[in-house]
Amino acid sequence: MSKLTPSQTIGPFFHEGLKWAIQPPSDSPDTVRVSGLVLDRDGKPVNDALIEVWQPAWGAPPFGGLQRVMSDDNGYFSFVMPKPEVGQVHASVTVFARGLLHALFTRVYLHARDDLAAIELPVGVPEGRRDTLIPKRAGDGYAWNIRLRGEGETVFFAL
Amino acid sequence: MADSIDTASVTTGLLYPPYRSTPERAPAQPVVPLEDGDEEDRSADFPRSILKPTDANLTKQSTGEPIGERIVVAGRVTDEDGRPIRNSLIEVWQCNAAGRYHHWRDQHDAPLDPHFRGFGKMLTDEDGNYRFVSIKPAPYPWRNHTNAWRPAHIHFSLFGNAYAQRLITQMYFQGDPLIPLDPIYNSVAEGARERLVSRFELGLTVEGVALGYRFDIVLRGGKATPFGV
Repeated sequence: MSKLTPSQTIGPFFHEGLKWAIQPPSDSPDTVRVSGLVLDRDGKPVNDALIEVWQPAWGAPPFGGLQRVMSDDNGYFSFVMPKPEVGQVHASVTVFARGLLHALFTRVYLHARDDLAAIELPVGVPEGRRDTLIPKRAGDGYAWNIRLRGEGETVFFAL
Repeated sequence: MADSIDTASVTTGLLYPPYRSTPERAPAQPVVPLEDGDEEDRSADFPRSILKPTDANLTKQSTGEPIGERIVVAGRVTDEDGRPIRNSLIEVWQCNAAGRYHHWRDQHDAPLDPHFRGFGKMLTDEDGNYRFVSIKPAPYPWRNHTNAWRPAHIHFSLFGNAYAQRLITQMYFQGDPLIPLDPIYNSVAEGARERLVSRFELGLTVEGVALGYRFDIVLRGGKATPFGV
């Protein structure tokens, strides 16, 4: 077994180098937009997060199901997901930021009938924290915050 | 015996108070092991058409030559079992030879270089090898603690061949006296942090042009990899 190369923080200066892979907005009748804020321990917006949304069954080359977004000066981000026609859909979400020593992996789940109780989440998600993975309806889309630490802390997964 | 894939084996955890922004941002709750799903076994498969000819030569992205010491950085990307990570995207970014990033948030009072932006990308070859040309980045001060300086480093972003292999890290330079003083470097456990230091290698130099540094990278196995086999 070779020895793993350790992770290091992405730092605050990644935007210029990584923005080439940001795609133009691709809203369509088949998609829905998920938007929100990245928040820290004190509920303050995190204005330097890199968020990658991975939906391999959905998307075309050259990015093939990967959406790269960056939180803005107000900590705001948004991405698109396929509209759930029946049952549920989910996306895998990776978060990097200054102050994070390695990537955080989470997921976001949508249900065709907005039936929160019907959504099947991975085994092991504590009952009281289910809502951190399920966005709420907001206008034409969904609202979903990523809380890194503190009250309402998002559930993060070990892959 | 199977090695743990717990990231605790390579970091001291997410909370490392000497690096001052970790207490505000590091999650406090334990992570939930993810058992279901297979999309983590796949990864974004970038075609070579995304690459521009100058993406792997950061000294040739302008109308003139950047100031600084030209370097070649090269290495091989493998997984824990030594298998090559093929045709996989690597992105790099760094400050210039004065310690200044081409970035609107960098307020360091050091000159920008009109001929150096400091970012590039490449795909590994069929055997996991990569190589790029740049200039050596300089140390720069930051406000983490009194008289704090980051050692010279290059940021690396790797996608691997599976989603679970995604890695962002930093590469340092052998012999930099700032390395043992750096809280970000020291956030990784002793015995593992040394893997972040590239080594000067005469065989990688280009005679009369650039000094060579080797930085090999090992990503974890995907879920498809039976650990310890």
